[in-house]
Order: sequence, then structure tokens, then C-alpha cells
Amino acid sequence: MQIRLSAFIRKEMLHILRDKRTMLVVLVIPVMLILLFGFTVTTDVNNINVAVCAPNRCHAVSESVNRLVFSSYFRFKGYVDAADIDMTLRTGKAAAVVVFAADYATSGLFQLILDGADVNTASTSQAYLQHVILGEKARQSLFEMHQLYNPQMKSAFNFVPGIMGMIFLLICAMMTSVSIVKEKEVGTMEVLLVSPVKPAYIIISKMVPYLLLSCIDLATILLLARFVLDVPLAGGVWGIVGISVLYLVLSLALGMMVSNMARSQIVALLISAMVMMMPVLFFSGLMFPIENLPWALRWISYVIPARWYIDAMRKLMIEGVAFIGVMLEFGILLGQTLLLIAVSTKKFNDRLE
Amino acid sequence: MNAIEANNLFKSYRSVQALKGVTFQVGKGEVFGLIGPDGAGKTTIFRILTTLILPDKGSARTDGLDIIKDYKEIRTRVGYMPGRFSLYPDLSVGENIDFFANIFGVTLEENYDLVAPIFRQIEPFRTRRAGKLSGGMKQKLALCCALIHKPSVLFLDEPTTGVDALSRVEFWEMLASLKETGISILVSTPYMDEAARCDRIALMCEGLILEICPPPARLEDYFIELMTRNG
Repeated sequence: MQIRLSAFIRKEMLHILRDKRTMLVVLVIPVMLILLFGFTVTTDVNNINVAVCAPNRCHAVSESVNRLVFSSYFRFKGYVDAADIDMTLRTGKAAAVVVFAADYATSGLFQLILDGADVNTASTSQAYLQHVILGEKARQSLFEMHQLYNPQMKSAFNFVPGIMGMIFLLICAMMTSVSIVKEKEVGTMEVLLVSPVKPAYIIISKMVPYLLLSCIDLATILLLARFVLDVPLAGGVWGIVGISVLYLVLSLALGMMVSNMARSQIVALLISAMVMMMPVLFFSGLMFPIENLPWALRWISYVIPARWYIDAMRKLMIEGVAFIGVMLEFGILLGQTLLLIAVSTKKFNDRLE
Repeated sequence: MNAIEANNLFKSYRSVQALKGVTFQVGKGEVFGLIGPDGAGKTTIFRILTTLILPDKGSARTDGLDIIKDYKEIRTRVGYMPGRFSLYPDLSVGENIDFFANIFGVTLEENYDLVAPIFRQIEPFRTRRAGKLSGGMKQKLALCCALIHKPSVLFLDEPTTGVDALSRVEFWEMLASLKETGISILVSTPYMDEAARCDRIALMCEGLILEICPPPARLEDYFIELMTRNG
């Protein structure tokens, strides 16, 4: 009789289904992270307190102020005297003060004074304020600015692909690495090895159930991104799913690599969490643009799978590029996946030391 | 042809020398006992003969096959029960048996005759999780899984440690009936009273075999005398 792979996979499924706590963590953490990042870690500007200083409250000024009042980005905090501007910003009563020139009606001159203590908010609100106050006149300026794909500069658009790149790597790598190391720790690996089982069977049977589980994560995240965070998924769902599943397999294979090195579950967890997470945070473009990195670090970023995945996902989700447009990223990820699977199968230790 | 041949095996882990030249043979159909205190090197011998680790020096054959060259073939022919309970605690008794039958490409029904005497005792608990079994039951399940593919050599590393007295007696009776089927058995134990149930025993201490003999009548006294003689 043949050794059936399905029986191996069934056994792994049973392990997962009976470990309710782990399953809960695996299914809930991604949802939590995506919502946290989507709603709290945001550089979007909303409800910024703005005060106005206008020595001459003419019709033109009140027209501009009206636009401020009715904009959802700002909260109008009333008029202040020129002498009190500094105090207003210092006490935090307002984060920005608009100073209209006395001859605003004819010259159209105004000044923005911003609280630079929070640089991000200051620079974003500066752009918004200019736009709102100028109103119609903004269109008559010398150059016209058009920000494509994410005109409202929503952070969620930027974060969601990044977070997906991080979550999948973490969850998949952790799950698989721990599940193999667990067999070493408990001692079942000892019995498993003294049998005709091929390493490939062990590896495949560990990967399949976790792939299914992480596909559930993928589906939840995409649904949340689309319907809760309003991320467009402009490039078509199938391209997004295709490259994501490839990335999931890659992350699972990475977990296999970790399990070859680690001797205990704690070490496996630490390696997957710390060693895997750091490069993703810094070299994938999740937080900092890769173009800003010194060249040596930029080279490192080329071997970080998350970098290519996040790049591709931004193109697919936000820019609305068709799948054909991310062929380079897809090819690189595919190559890395095959390499990782080959290495972890080859390196799989079929002895105890 | 002997079931097991170990020639001058050496093995050290970092600073500890676990085996310092171990030589012994186990005949076909023999029950051979490794008797010795913890740290004598018993588990290391098991792991070398089941191809789980490589010796630093020396050679060995299991079921006539070289442990280094033919390790894949050996793994299909031997049954191994490690010292620690090494089944899946979150799987039920039946699921464990089915899984281990599958990894050897057999079914429980195929070799039912061999495992029947043991299987019948754990059958009432078929749906219970292996982790929830008593110590004696766990050992029976592990033995059942180790026998499922009808191995020609059976390796039992301290199978009765942590098992109650009655279960221990039962366990040895099972081994006796297994011997009848022609299986060669290498078994280790720290309990002197169990040595009497072996055909021959090797008395081990600190990586060396002090003596190989049929189990003597007053083993404990004999063992202490041997140890003092060897310093």
C-alpha cells in the first residue's frame, strides 16, 4: 500500500482544529492589525483646529473663512489678534493660524502659521489649507497639481498593502516553523524519522493546512480593506489574490527554513517574529521609502520578498495596474519561493543532530 | 545473521563522552536487555542503531544493514519506541494508530494478528485523546504503533519507566508473546527486576558495557560488585 499524503494533511488539520487558541490568534490578529492600522495609525488630516487672524474682515475674508468652516478637514476656532497667535499655537488651542493681509480683497495675500511640533500634520494641513482658502483661485495658479490614484491621500491606501506584506509573513512563518519544531520538542519527530516518510511529505503536509488557514486571513483582510477602509482594489481581485497566494506560499517556506535552524518553539517564534519582522519594517517600503535608503541598504531590500509583494500590491490595489504590470514582481517572488522550498527540502534534517 | 551488531561504537556530545567503545550482538529472535543507570549511554545506542544519529567511530548493522549506508532501508524495517512518550497527545488513540500505519504504508487490519493482543486492551479507549491516557495505556499505544508495520527488530527505550507495577508486568508478558513471533527485541531498563525477563543482558555504566551475560540470579548485588571492581 502507498503512503497517502492526504492522511498526513488530515493529521495536520486535526492539530490545527484542536488547538482553538492558536487558531483564534491566527484568525483574529490580522483583523485587529488591519483595523488598527487602518483607523489609528493614520497620517490623514481631519478635524484640525484652525484659528484666523484678520485685521480687516472684508467680504473676501469671510468667504474664505466660510469655506474653512464647512470643510470637514478643519474645525474653525474663531478669530484671534495678531499678538495672540503665538499663544494660540502654544496652548494648543489651534494647530494652525491663517493670517489674512489687510488688503486681502485686492492682493489675495495670506500667511499660514503652523505648529511645526508635529511635522506630518503641519505639512499635510498646509496643503489642505492652501487649497481650501484659495478656493476657485487655486485653479488659476501657475501650475496645476494632480495627485493620481489616491487624491485624498488616505493613509489606509498606503498602509493596507504594507500591513498585508507584514502580517502574512509573520503569521505563516510563525505557524509553520513552530509546528515542525513542536514535533522535535515533543519527540514525535524521533518516531517520524524512523519510518520511510520522505521529508517532502512532512513539508508539504505542514504547508497545505496553513495555506488554507492563511487564505481565510487573506479573504478577511481583502473584504475589510474593500468595504471598511474603502481601499479600491482597482487592478482586479484575481491578480491580487494570485500574487498574495504566491506570497503566502513563500512565507510558509520561510517558516520551514526557520524550523530547520530552531531547536525550540520559543526560538522559532523569536526568529520568525524578530528576525523576519525587522527587515520587513525597514526595507520593504512599508514605513520608509526605499529610494531614501543608502545604496547598501537598498541592495538588502532587493532580497526582501515583502518589498516586491508590497510594491506589487500597491500597483494592483491602488494604481489599478492590470496583472501584466506586476509580472516582474511576480517573477521575482516565484523565483524566491522555489528557491526557499528547494533549500528547505534539501536542508531538512532527517537525523536528530 | 544477527539482528544487531554493534562494533566498538564511540559517541560524544560536546564535552560528554556518551559511548566509549561499545560492542555487542543480538541474535535473531532474542530479547536483549541494556541495563544501567541514567546516563549510561543506553539512549545513545538506541539512536545510533535506529539511524537517528551517527557514531563518531565504530560501525553497526541493524537487521544485517549498515546503519550509515542503508539507513533508509533500516527505517522501514525497525520499530522504535523512544524513552519519552512520543505520540500525538491531541490525536485520539485511533487517529494515532491510523497515522502511524499510514506512514509505513500499511493498515491496522494487515498486521492485526501481531498487534491484536495489545490493541484489544486499548480498543475501548479508541476515541480518547492519547494525552488523556494513563501511563500504562500510553505505553501500550506506543508499542502498538511501533509494531504496526511488522518490524523485524523492535527497539524499546525504557518502555516501563513511569509505569505502574501491574502494567509493567503486563508489558513484559506482551514482549514475551512478541518474542514467540520471531521478532528480535532490544530493550533498556533501569529496573534490575526486569532484567530477569531478558534472554541476555548487557550491564552498562558510563558509556561502557561492563559485562554481557544471561541475567544472574542476584543481579543487584552482582551489578554493585561489578561497578566496584571496575572502579
